[in-house]
Amino acid sequence: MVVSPTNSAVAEAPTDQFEIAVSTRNISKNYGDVEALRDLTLEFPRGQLNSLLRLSGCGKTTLLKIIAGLLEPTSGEVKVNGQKVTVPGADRAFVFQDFALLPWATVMRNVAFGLEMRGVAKSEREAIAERYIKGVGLAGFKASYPHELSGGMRQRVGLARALSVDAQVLLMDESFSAVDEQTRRKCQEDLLSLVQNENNTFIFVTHSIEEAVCVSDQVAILLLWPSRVSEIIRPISFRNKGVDNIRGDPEYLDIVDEIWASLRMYVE
Amino acid sequence: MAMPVIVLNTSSAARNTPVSMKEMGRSFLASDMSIMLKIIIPAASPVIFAGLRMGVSASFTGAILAELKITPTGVGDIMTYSRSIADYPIMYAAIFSIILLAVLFLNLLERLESVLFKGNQGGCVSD
Repeated sequence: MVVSPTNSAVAEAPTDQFEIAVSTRNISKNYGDVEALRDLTLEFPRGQLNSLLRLSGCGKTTLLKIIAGLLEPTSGEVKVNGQKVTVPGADRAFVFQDFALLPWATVMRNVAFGLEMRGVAKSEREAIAERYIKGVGLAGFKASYPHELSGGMRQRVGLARALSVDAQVLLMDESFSAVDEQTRRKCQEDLLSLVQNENNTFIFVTHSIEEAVCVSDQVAILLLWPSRVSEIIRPISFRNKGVDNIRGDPEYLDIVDEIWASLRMYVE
Repeated sequence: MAMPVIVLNTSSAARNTPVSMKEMGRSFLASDMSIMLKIIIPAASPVIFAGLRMGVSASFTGAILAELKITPTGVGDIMTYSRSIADYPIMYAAIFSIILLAVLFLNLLERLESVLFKGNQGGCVSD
């Protein structure tokens, strides 16, 4: 376990030993007079799951949308694989909090949407989409419409859509917050095996401490008003113990407690 | 008579497309044109079709009114004329044929909508 509490606005991530997939440099974002992000510098190592843990509050997804290129920062820059990015690109895919599925389209069309927009031919994109639909466990539902699916299934459609475009960086915006607790646990477990099997970099926004510690290789804790990094935690010791053993691991519980202790004073 | 209803409905529906759907389009590299065609128009389709339905009834009313009051032609003329010579079966036949035509038209629209945007019948899923 490595805990490196720093109270400065810029936290140094102990990431020298990793290749950096995404980095943000001095990102600031103002909405009129409201300062949402101030001078935020963060690095996200490749092939790992990085959490942004935030206290509940507005503007939670601002940083993620800036990385996605959906929002423009007031100042600062985002680099993906060393390239500065300002608009959405093929290297990043977004999993939305509210799923953002097209209600008039079948699961198949929804999953294939990203490929369709990239100009992939119909037969080819349906073959790829079919593989990912099967991969997220929705094989029998490819002709269903979103309103016929449960919340967890809808989220898996959103995940399959993001995976199917083969982006290196997956941006997940509180992706499990709209599903129930049991489905959520299953989703977290699926996510863990996904991280192990694929070489994508995940950036995962959540407000659940347990969720962040459970699934992530790196947890960056952001404070509010304006947002800045308060500390970066890299839970490593229980990472290889398997999904079933994480929640009972003493270090897992210690880290959860520690994070809560440091955040408690900010929660009213 | 039908124009304002259809245009106003369509424009407000298009403005009310969920933001996250448009963002989804952008983040998956959709061009402005495909966002328009593949997201905004289908998302607005229930309201567009509601506007069309109102437009159809408004246009029927308009056409019959014009035929009755302004130009002595068509079904309106048949109604006025058969009433004036007290040929009531013809008059009622004209009225019912108009009703039948309107119902047929509305059904056709509904059929078209359900064929084009099947999943929309389940309501907009956003939660």
